[in-house]
Amino acid sequence: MTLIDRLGADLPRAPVTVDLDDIQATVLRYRPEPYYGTHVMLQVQDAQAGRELLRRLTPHIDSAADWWQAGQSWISVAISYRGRTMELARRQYEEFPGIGVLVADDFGAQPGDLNPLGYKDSISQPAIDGTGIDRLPGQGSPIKPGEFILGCPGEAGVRLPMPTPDLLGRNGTYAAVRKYQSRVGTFNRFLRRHAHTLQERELLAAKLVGRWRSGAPLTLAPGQDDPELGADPRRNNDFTYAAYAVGRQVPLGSHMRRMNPRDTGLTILTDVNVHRIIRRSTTFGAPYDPDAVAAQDDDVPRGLYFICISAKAMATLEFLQQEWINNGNFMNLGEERDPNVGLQEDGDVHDPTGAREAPHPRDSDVQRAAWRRVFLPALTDGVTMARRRLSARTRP
Amino acid sequence: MATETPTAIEPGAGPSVEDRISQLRELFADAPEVGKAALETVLQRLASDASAAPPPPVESAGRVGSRLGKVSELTIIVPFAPGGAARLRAFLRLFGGNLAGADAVGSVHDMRFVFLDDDTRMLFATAYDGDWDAYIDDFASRIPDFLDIIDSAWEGWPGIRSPQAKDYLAKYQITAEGWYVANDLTVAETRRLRHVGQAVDEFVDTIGS
Repeated sequence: MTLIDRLGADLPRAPVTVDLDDIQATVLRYRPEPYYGTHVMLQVQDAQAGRELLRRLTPHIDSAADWWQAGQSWISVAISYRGRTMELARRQYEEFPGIGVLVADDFGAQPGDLNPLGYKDSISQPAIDGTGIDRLPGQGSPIKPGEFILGCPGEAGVRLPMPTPDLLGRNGTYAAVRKYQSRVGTFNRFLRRHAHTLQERELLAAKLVGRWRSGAPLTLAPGQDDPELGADPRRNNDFTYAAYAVGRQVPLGSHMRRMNPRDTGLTILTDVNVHRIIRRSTTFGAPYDPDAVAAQDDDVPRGLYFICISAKAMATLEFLQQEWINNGNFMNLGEERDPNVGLQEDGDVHDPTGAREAPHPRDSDVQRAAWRRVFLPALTDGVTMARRRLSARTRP
Repeated sequence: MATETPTAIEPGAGPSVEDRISQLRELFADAPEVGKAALETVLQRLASDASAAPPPPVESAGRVGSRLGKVSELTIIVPFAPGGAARLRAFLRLFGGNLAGADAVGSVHDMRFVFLDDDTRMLFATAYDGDWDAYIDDFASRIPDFLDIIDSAWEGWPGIRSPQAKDYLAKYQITAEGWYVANDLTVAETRRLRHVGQAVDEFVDTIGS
């Protein structure tokens, strides 16, 4: 389902100032609903083979032109700086000697487009200046495109550092990728330990995230889930925190509020627009099971490929982890950490509700693999250039 | 006169405590008598107080600088640009030397601007919460003019919006060999405690009246 299918033909339009034809589709297209796909990581052992692969693949990589109404399926290519990993289409690699497959993982939405902990996710995305669509309800003021697309001016009015030569960097961007195993047993046990009825459990689950399972935000649905609201993309993100300063209804430390504080008063001088990410995470493995409470349920393969796009991916990620996830000072919450993705120190008891209703899970709900930073080159220049680079390496 | 409070020696990594003490004695062999005698007194007191828990070691505050608990130190010694000292002095005097506007930053405990060597170099020292470079993009976006007025007094300042700004600051930053801060509280926590204290006073006054 494209953005226009979801939000209707009267999508608010704005002038296009970025080079949509040159930007990879995945940078701007919203994840379809439902969605399916494969993450493939390849290692180029033979530069000539890598070059040939890119040459054949390039015509199949969609651009971001008309991203709000185009294409339901697409291929993206990302290349790590050291040339060690690539994410490519599965059907392309098998015929290539000289290309080794490191990972080929299928992903896809769970029933109801829920993530491995049973929530609808990736609801809030930044509005980006110059990409043709004006702010959607609740998105806040559009962010300068340079925060997401290299070669364009960012929020401070200047271009962010990019790979040289400019031909390679311009209209490219970075993605940070990390595979999480979700500890569903730990998560469910936490809910049951601190809430006795199903209704209380669901309220606690909503307080941790800031949204109910359906995606309905606590700002607009304080008492119980509202699936109709959760499913309505015009309403499910349309709010500010102006009336919720204290955090009783929507905890200051909830995942949603930490990752996008909007107009929340912060203790440290912050420009929330320079820390936003485009979220392209995908869910893999078994669907969420609310009755999975055993220790071995933590090991059932299911989780997230957390994928975020930012023109300064690792700096953004480091900021988010250090300041907004594993710290509470910015919201005046002391050392409290993100209840979903924060690293919990053993013995920590936190209060994500701000109202002493719910102590924090002692164990983190997720287990991580290493981060990978990958470069998403522009289409017309970047992919061509990457091909040339691979080509140059094969010369004596 | 300050009270001398010997603290236990931090065992830490690297050379053993005995080795560090014998190295200290060697270095003090050439020290003035008053220093040599003082060292022996202090070492004796430390030895007799071996049961005391050693203080936590100072950590790194990121690229450069030291941190104790949540509070870090930043010390910069940087050459002035031509005319920079006069410009900066005039700007600081606009506020009577009081940079209370820094309240808004929310993570700065203190700052000092000291002009050195006949106005050719400057010492900038501050205590602040966390890592300074985490928020530099925020400062570049929210208070760029204020920072560029101050920092353009320095030789070769690239501008706060420049991608080179962090490297410039790191180049002139010197890690403190020693660092102490009384409270392991952030500025935000200190402010919250002040509010809590006021609220408790009000409450007690109300129920007592």
